[in-house]
Amino acid sequence: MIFIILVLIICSGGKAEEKIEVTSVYHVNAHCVLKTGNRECAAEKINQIAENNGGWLILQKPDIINLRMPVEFMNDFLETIDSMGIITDKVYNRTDHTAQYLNIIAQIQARQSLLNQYLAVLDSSGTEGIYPVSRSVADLQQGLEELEGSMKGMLERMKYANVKIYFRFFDRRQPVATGKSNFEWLNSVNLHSLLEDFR
Amino acid sequence: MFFVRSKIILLLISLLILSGCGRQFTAVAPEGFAVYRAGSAFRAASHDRLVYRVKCTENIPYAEFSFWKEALTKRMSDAGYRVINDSVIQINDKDALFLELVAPLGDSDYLYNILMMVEGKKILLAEAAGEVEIMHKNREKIIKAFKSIGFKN
Repeated sequence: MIFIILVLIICSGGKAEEKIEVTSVYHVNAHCVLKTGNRECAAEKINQIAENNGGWLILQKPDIINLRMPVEFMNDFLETIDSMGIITDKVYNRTDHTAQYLNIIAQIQARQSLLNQYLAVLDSSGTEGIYPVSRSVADLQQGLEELEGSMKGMLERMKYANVKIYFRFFDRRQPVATGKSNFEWLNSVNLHSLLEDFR
Repeated sequence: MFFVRSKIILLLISLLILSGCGRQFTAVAPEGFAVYRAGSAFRAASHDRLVYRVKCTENIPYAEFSFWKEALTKRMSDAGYRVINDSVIQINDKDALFLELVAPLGDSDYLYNILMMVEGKKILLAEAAGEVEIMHKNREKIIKAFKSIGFKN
């Protein structure tokens, strides 16, 4: 998704050639652990909300739902999830793909510049030179289309966040029973000893 | 026979003194919980496996509430509990730390609530735990019980 607009000057051989506006591109990932009395009902509701707002389901198992959600709807979506039970863990992060994006733009510009030169040669070439030049032009155009396709694909992917909702902790590591605090009474405060006291 | 009884009574009194503070606090069980009679700690449990305990411990080494508040929160976090709420509430005009912790245990996820108060050389600890969904349903009852605890004068 695009949030910060940077103005970059693409340089070639130390000379400023073209001033372009470049955006910061990143992918949003979020996951949370939702504890609710009725998982099936919650899962159904989550799917419904996702579908109504342009998202879609990737995976659904008894313990997890994996969705794609439009990034602009993420805050509202997470708030809705909050109200469906108790959120015991929540992680929201972004992976920056700006460098990759800029690399594609630079490749497109370089190829476009080369293509323009080839086209100029093509205009002035005679019948003998037209075949090799037009082959090079076709190769460059194909390469350009591929790069533009991957750039559009990347921007499209960034519009959707990857959301995972777990209905139980996926990390099943239990808390330590005693601990190593220097304060003795603190070590006695733990879930294990509390439950043990009732057995 | 009289001497044997006296020795037993003396032994029990000694044990109570050694155990720190016996029942130098007041507590009531959350609504619907059954109270256990035995032991120096106040204990109660519900039919759906929620447990509730209030106990008193010595404030050793001596420190103020503000210190123990930080130390207890850090210790629970370091021990692997997810802290979902750490707030200070007022109980009879005294500050009390209210912690809501979550942790996996066996196949279930547990919610573990702790209330901690300090008065002089004593620290009062109230704990409640159970499966997250059941604890969540009973949250208000547990908070109400927490708010009823206090040091005996």
